Amino acid sequence: MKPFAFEWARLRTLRSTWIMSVLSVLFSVLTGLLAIPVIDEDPSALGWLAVLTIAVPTVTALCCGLIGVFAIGHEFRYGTIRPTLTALPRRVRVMVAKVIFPALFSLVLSVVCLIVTYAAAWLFVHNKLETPAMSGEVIRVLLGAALYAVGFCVIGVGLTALFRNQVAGIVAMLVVPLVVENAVSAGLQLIPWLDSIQDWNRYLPFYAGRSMYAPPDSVARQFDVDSLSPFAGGAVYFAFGAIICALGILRFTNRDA
Amino acid sequence: MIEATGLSKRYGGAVAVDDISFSVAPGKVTGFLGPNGAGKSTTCRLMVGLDKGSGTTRFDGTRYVDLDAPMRSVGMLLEAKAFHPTRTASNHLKMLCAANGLASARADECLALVGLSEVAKKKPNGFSLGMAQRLGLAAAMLGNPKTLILDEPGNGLDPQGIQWLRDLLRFFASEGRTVLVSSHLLSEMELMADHVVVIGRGRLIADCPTSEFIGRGSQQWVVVRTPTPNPLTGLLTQRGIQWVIESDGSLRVNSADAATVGDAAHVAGVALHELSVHRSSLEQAFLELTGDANQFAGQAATQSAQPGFFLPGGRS
Repeated sequence: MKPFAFEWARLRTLRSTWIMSVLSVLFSVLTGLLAIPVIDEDPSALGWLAVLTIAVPTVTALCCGLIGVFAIGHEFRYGTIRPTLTALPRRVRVMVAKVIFPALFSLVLSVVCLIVTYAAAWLFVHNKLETPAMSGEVIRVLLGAALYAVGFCVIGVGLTALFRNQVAGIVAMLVVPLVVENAVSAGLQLIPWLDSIQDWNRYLPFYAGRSMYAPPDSVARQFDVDSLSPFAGGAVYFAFGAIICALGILRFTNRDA
Repeated sequence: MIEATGLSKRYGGAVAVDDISFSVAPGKVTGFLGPNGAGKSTTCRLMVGLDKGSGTTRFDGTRYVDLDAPMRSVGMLLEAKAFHPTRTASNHLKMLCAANGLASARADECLALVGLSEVAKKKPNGFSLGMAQRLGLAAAMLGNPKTLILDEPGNGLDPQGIQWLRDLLRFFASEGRTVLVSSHLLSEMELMADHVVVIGRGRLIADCPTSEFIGRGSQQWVVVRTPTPNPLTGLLTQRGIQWVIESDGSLRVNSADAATVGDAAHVAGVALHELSVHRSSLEQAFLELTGDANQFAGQAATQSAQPGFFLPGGRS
């Protein structure tokens, strides 16, 4: 438990943790307020879900990713890795704590952001609308959005441990979903001799991860027949995170501090 | 008790530490000396597993990685400014306390011990090197350890700070604890260290009491001041004793002890204004014994001082 106690002390005494958290919550409030017209137009559960899944898989996920990057990136950037490893010399335990604790923090932050988004919108529209029923699919979408943000955090820790550099970790965390996956996806669609593997893009980790919070019966989902199921998409996404973390831990344990 | 056996480390083709073995006994301060690039810091890191190499180090019989709460057994100071710039000094120490199950009140106690209570709630990004060293020392002391390993703890400390550190470490050793201190401040180490481990180019040069190391470096000599040196120098030559007149007019006698020189002065009937015994300092012994092991020696000023070299803009 000592690595977890250390990680909690590290996380809560870091200014950036709270900046990321406040930023996520503020964006959630803003999303809730700006989305009132959407809910006004479509007061069904689907309308609510469209609003609730704006902030968490985007800004909150990014903030969770940065919290993950900082979990190990600060250690390299400020040379605190040496005091850390003299206090906790068993490196695998240190890294496991650095993956699990920020991930748990990200889960709590994401749930808080979902509640804040809902509350912000509800405050203004609750007089004329009924609260959406918490069906299994609704819960799946909300949980999927939160887990997508958690996955960002886990991948952030893994990439930074792999590169042993904070800036490289941030860049990789942004470039993989925004540039690499889009480029691969476009290549699969556009290059004729890749026709046979065109649908492999659904296995791209972030693409797959997004299916976790895809709204049920959404227009996009009707056409996007190649998307993985939420469970399979989540499995691919977290398998990628687990592989990156395993490689990061391997590098962390075998290199000089 | 620290027992290091067969410590080795290579960086590519370069050998940084080459099969070093030594032990550090409790109850005394052991100095860890060597020129720049000798491998002192690498050795310290190897001892606690921060660097990957070969060899084993045991602290009271246990490897560092096997210690359950290592800060309770071994206190380390390897780098002065190893802290996050926006985490307060107090929180930095409390975080380390959490890692070893220490009460967080210990953080404030150790900050008081090193004289940083006033800045406990301050972010350390504005700390001077000396303050950063004190914070590092506080971190090393958190677990009230039986063993201390300090890498250049005197860097950045003012003279009062150096004296405080010396007293602290000597007190620490007097309680039967083990202290290993690496330092370039050789005059300070001479006052502080009872034993020295000296390395050069990654190899062990000496592992002996400080007095023995100094004795290895050079012999003693006697300095004599007299208004009438000639009768004495004549008698010394007659007795086969080597002497030399120094630039300040004093007589340096290399191959005799003070009693022999004093007796000779009495026989020669000369008045003595000074008769003193000198021996080489730790610094002189260190320079003599590690001269060949200095990997990064600079040019002497007389060699580099071509016309205009020290003028603004250098040679022109």
